[in-house]
Amino acid sequence: MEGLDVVYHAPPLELHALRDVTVTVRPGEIVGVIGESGCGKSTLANAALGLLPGNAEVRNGRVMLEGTDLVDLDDEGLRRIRGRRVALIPQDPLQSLNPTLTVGRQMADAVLAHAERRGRDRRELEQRMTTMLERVGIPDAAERLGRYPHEFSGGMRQRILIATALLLGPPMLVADEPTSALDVTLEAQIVELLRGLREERDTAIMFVTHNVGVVAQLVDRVVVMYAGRVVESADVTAFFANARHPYAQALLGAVPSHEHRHRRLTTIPGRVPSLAHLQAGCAFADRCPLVAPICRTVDPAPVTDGASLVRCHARDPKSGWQAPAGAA
Amino acid sequence: MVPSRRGRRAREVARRPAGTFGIVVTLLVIIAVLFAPVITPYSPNAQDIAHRFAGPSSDHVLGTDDLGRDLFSRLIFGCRVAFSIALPAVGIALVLGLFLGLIAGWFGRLLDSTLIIATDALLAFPAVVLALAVIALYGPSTRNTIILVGLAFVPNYFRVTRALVLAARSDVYVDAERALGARTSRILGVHVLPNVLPPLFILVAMDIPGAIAVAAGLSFLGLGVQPPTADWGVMLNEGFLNVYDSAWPLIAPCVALVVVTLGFTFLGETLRDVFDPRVSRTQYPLNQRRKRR
Amino acid sequence: MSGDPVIDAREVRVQFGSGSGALQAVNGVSLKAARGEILGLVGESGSGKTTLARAIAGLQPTAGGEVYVEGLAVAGLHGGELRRLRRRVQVIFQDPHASLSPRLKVDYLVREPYTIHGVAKGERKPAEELLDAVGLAPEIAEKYPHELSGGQARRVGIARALVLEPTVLVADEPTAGLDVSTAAGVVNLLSDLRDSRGLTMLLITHDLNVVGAVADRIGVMYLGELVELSTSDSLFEAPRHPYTRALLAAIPLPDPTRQSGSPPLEGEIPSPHNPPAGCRFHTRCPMVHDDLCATEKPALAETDTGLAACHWWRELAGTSHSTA
Repeated sequence: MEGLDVVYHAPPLELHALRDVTVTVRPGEIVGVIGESGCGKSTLANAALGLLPGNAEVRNGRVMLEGTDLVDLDDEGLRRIRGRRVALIPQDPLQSLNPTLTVGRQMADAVLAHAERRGRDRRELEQRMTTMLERVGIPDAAERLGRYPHEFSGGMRQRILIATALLLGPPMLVADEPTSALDVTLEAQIVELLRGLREERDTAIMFVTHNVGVVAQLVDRVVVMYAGRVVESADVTAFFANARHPYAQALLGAVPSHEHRHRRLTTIPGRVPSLAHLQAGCAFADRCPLVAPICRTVDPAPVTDGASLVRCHARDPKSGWQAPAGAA
Repeated sequence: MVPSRRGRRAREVARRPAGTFGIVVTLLVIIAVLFAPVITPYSPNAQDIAHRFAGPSSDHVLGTDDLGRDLFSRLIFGCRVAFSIALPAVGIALVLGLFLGLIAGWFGRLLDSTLIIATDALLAFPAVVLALAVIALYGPSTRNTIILVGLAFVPNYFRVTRALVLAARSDVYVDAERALGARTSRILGVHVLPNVLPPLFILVAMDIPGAIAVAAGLSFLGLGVQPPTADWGVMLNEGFLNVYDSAWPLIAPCVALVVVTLGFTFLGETLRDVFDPRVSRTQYPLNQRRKRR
Repeated sequence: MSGDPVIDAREVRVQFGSGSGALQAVNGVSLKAARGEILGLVGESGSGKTTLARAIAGLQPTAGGEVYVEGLAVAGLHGGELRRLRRRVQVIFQDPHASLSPRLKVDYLVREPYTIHGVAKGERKPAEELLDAVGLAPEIAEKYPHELSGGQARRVGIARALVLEPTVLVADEPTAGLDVSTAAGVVNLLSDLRDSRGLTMLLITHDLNVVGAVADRIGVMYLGELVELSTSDSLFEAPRHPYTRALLAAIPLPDPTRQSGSPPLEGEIPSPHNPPAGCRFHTRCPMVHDDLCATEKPALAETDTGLAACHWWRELAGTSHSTA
């Protein structure tokens, strides 16, 4: 995605969900997008799938999927792309599966929507689905195809969704908080599964989550979002060793752990600004410990340094930022 | 700052054309009911045989009926009659249904089952058959009409109240109140009831036209309000019998019934839409709607 | 443990349904909490931790066992006595918004406990003060619950729980559904409350990080039973039950240089309707010894660090696994 600007129309308001967002995911790479509510990460995930709702307007920018700009495509074009070139692993397995259809039927729907030739061999399809279910760790796969979603547990349902996403072998997966509804032991299994997929098939994965720990364990690069902007982007090791944006630092400091139990958790004063009433300057200014006058007037431009990127005047030697008295 | 809820809601209702229509009709009805003697040129029962079956004219805005009575005046007073039946009837239904629904939904078990069976039995009878039976026993009159119509609507209110109370019973905030030590009476009165009432009021708005229609139907059949009282059902009957002499005595009550029924129905539906918490509110920025775990 | 325990639960059993289809949500759990301590209770879905917490708070009828709070028996209390209990034990519910009656203003909600218990007017604190105690600005009093953010709603819930100055606070998933930074604020608040008011807290959560950061002692539950109970440090540094060890290994560490290995547990939690025979964990246990584990349920026994319900805890002691 390059320079993507997405605005939601909710008259009389306009919500700037994404502002000048640039995110790249390469084959075999897992990019983690983290941020809290209202940062735009869900909009980002939807944009990557061309699934923006009716009241969304793409004001600027492109969403390039293997060379095709999704913004230019019409409904039919998007339909052909989804499932085949990019697939979604959604958050809530319970709500994403139709309770009245068998699992096999729902998975088949995904494939049949893209059938090139009529009369696709049914046996072959079943074989593929069975193989895929086994690959994601569901035992007795062949028999399970005939069962209904409510007969599976939450973890299993998530696996079914992953299997469905993989059926057409898309090169790109968008995972929108896939483990948020799962217990931690199940989460570990899904993380392992996704790692395996990346190894086997060179799948590119965009992993959207609020869970900092999972990001550390799974992804190659981290993208941090705040109020619709990418405020930091770095290679995962570099990020956790030395996050540069004050919001990212605060976020890392807010994660509780036994190891650091004697340290008080970092909290961020104030609230996320309303996307409808964004003020001039940096959106984080009101809550930032390093805020300076320039932060309130000029929106920081991205500063790149190799693979890392950060939007903060304090990290920009050319910005004219002055440290407030007594800041780090 | 978020503007006051009531002010916002009122504007929402007015914004929709159906709602505006409903409000206008309601206002007209209120005027008719309250000021009937003042705005009618004639008494509804004043006969003038010499000018029977007259068409609309400067003397009689809508014409006259078979006994020379002014149709316009009869219509306005008929409005009063209609509401003097519909309002108490729906009121009975509301109060009785609410009370029964509360105890059935909250206390459950045997009481609940008994009440369900009782109201189901009531629902099983078509209103007209029930009316015939009761009238046969007690004779037709306005009072009996009110009671009958009221009873016919009780199951609806009972059902809705009961469902809402059942849902509230397992709602977390009820648990929270119990955890604080609140008594059942408090929980029901302060917490559950205010959440139950709004949907019921909307039901009331939508049932009033229904009640009017049922009452008019009964009167049309001669089982409800008795002539010479100016009632729309009675007028329909008389107009029907004399239609070859003049269409106006039939048209007038028809139009009145249709307009009032439509008006209240639109109002009710609009209210329901506006008060539905699932309809997205444009005043809340997107980032305040959270994704829950 | 010094002094009498503030919470004393003995062999608590909670059952849903009856007959052959009955679900043993809590199957004979005993634990104690001392004054001023934060006792964490962790477990995954179906562990029964929430049900146990509700039973301790007197919100859930028990099918067996006893619960004493400050020496007062919880079971079988009615009317006035139950209300007196309520002044001592308060609950913070999981969903921040759902626990607030939607049509009432925060001002009313926060002061309602005074009305419910008939506290004399002179002894009632104003709403602003009650809100300030949880770090909320006075303007919040004029809002309705749906106008509050998750974090604010959660704090209002805490404020309500504190009004009657209870001695015990049962917090059910206080950080669920909250953003990381908001959750951090709540965790800090709970810790501060314990320090400033000497509250005893029962902290229920699935998030081991949260209990690890805040709790003094931690109990681990699996399928309705307590499988380990020890101090926070012991649990993290020297777990004595294979499930605890697996849970710890499953926590994704926010440190990419220390990658977790293969997932510590395969399979899914068995259905609570049909728990495995013998040790309930044996079907997924990485160190299962077929003969004993499948037939004989291990009792909660004393170990070198606390209590654990595993026949083979000594094997774990041998390979002390540190995740710190």
